[in-house]
Amino acid sequence: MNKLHFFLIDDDEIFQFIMKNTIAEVNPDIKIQFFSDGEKGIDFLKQNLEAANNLPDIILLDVNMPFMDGWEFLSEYKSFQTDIKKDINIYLLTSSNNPQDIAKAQEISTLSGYLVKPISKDGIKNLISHFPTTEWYQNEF
Amino acid sequence: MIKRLSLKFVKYYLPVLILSVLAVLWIYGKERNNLTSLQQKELSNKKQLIVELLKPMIANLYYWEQYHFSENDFNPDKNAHLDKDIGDFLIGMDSYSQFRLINSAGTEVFRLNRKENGKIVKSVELQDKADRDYYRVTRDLKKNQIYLSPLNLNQENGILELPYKPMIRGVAPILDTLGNKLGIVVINFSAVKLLDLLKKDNQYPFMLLDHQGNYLVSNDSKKEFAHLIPNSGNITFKEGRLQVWDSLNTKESISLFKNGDLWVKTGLDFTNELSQTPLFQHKFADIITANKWMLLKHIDSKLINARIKREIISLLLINLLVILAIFCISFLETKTENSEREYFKALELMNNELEIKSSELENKNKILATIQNKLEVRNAQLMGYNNIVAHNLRAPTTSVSALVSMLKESKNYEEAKGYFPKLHKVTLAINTLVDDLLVYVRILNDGNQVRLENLALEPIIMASLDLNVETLDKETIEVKTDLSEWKEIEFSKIYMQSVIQNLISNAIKYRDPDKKSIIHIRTLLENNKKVLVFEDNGLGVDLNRYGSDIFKLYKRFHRELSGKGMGLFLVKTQLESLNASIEVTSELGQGTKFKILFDNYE
Repeated sequence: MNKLHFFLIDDDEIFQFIMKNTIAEVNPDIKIQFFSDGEKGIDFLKQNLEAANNLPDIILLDVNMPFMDGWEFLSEYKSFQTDIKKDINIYLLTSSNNPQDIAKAQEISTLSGYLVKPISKDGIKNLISHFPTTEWYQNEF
Repeated sequence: MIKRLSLKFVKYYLPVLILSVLAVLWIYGKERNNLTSLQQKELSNKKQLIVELLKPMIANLYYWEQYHFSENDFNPDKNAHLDKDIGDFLIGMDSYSQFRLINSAGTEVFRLNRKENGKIVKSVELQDKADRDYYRVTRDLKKNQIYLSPLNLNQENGILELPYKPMIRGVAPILDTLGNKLGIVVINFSAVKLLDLLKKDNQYPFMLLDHQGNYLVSNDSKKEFAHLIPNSGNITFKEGRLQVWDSLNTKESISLFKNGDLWVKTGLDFTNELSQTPLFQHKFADIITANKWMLLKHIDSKLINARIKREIISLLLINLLVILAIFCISFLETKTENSEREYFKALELMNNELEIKSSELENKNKILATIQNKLEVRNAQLMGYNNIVAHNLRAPTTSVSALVSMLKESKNYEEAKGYFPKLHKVTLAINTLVDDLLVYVRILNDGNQVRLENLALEPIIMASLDLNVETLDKETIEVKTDLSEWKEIEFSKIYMQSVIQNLISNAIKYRDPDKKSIIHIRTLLENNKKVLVFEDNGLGVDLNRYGSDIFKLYKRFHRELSGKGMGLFLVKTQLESLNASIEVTSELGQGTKFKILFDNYE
């Protein structure tokens, strides 16, 4: 079985650092790749539509980002989703339990789930153990 | 009030008045007609009376004409045998005062007189009547002819008998069996009783005139028979009232008004009336007479008026009552109308008041709407604040807690040391955020206490341009200002400075380096509201993509250009806290236009 491959799309460098550490602690084999905004993530995916090895299993997508936020990313992603040669699970990350955001997220079929920051080691473990899942994941925090 | 009252009064009373006048005229006419026909009837009765009283005389004369007198009967010495027959006859006829036989020579041959006490006495003294007109007229009477004299006063031996004895002489010829004329029979018909009857029961003056206009009967007894009484000095009716006399003579039966007086006349022509008297075996009398009488009623205008006086008075009384009633009704109606008018006035007043109140209410509604608008803005701002705290503040704090737990679990100092710069960075970010939030919260709180003053726009714009003088000098940026529409506004100086600075620096920062930059600042009046426009030909923003995010905190749309994402957020917050608003239109590569609308600003 191939190593799990994560994308973290988030402009917060500190959060990137924390996630890198956390995921490494859970499983050092997990590959993680960072993008500081949605546009960069989209650009990368578009360039690697055919290259399944470069594509992630899981995308952790922050909502609040400059230039292109999480929502924009999702609508852009949907436009070329069928061209991607890999099943990708996208989880939306947000720093709040804002009910409006959750309701909005549930409307989007492209999403596999919804995670609230911060994300603990257990959270990552859970995500991995349930992967691939279509169920909505409820963070314990 | 009085004018309206009298108008109303006239309106109601006029028909009544007209009706009353018509009623008076009607009553007057009817009264006259009644009176006339009544008098006409009375006259006709009197006429009938006269005729009925005279009829027996004609019958009697005819009887004596047929008596078969002999020649001896006309000899005073040989006619004593007549005493019994004629005496018996005369006793029963109490209106006959004399019975005479007069021979062809005009001498009385037989004479019976009725005394005052009613006794019949044979007169020994026989008079010669050859000179008297009644003899001369009757001398040539033919068989079956009967003569009636005018109504005369009796004369004895050519002298008027006193007291006056009005009478009519009836004469019939006497012929013997061979048809030779023996003489005449004369019966004196005393008219006293007849005249008394005619004078009786007259409500209005009754007159009996002969065909020459002489009074036979009058309410003034001195006038009666004045034409027969020497030196009486009285004038006849015809002489006294020639006009009336002429008018009365135009018709057999007539009623006429002269000077308000009513005259009612019925003629009595003896020849016409008495010739119809049947005598014997359908034979009619052949009456010779000149008697043409006039039965006349004279009703003075005063009497006529007196007759209808009662009706007039009662009508007047009714009118008075009606006037009183109408006055009351008019008064009440006017009063009601007045109070109605006052009621309407009051209603109008109330309406006006209501209108004022309703407009007040409308104003209050407007104020409420403004307040609601303000509250909505405030709510949105609080939501924004909420979002900032939820997203922007929570992220670094969770990062801190994550870093701290990592630090706690670090196996050695070297590892731990690696976390410190990260922690430092997060705390700096938190500090910046808290500072920015403080600015934001201060604006929200200061909204009502900010000092408003009359600001001139130009100096503020100039000061803001000065802050960017280095960039402006270095680059080819043209700043055009057009403040012709308005130059001053009541606003917070600090906020205005912040808004203008941010928009100018925004325009400079996002200019298009590939073309000559133009920044256009101008004032406008739209719907009487002051509008301030900042327009540039810079990079522009895709609003379809970012929409209202342009005014949100920490939103950045240009990767190449540094920006905190605080400026427009502050501008919007400051404007909204003072009831102004900002709109944006922009197109990528074309430029951006900000429009600040100062609602409710003078």
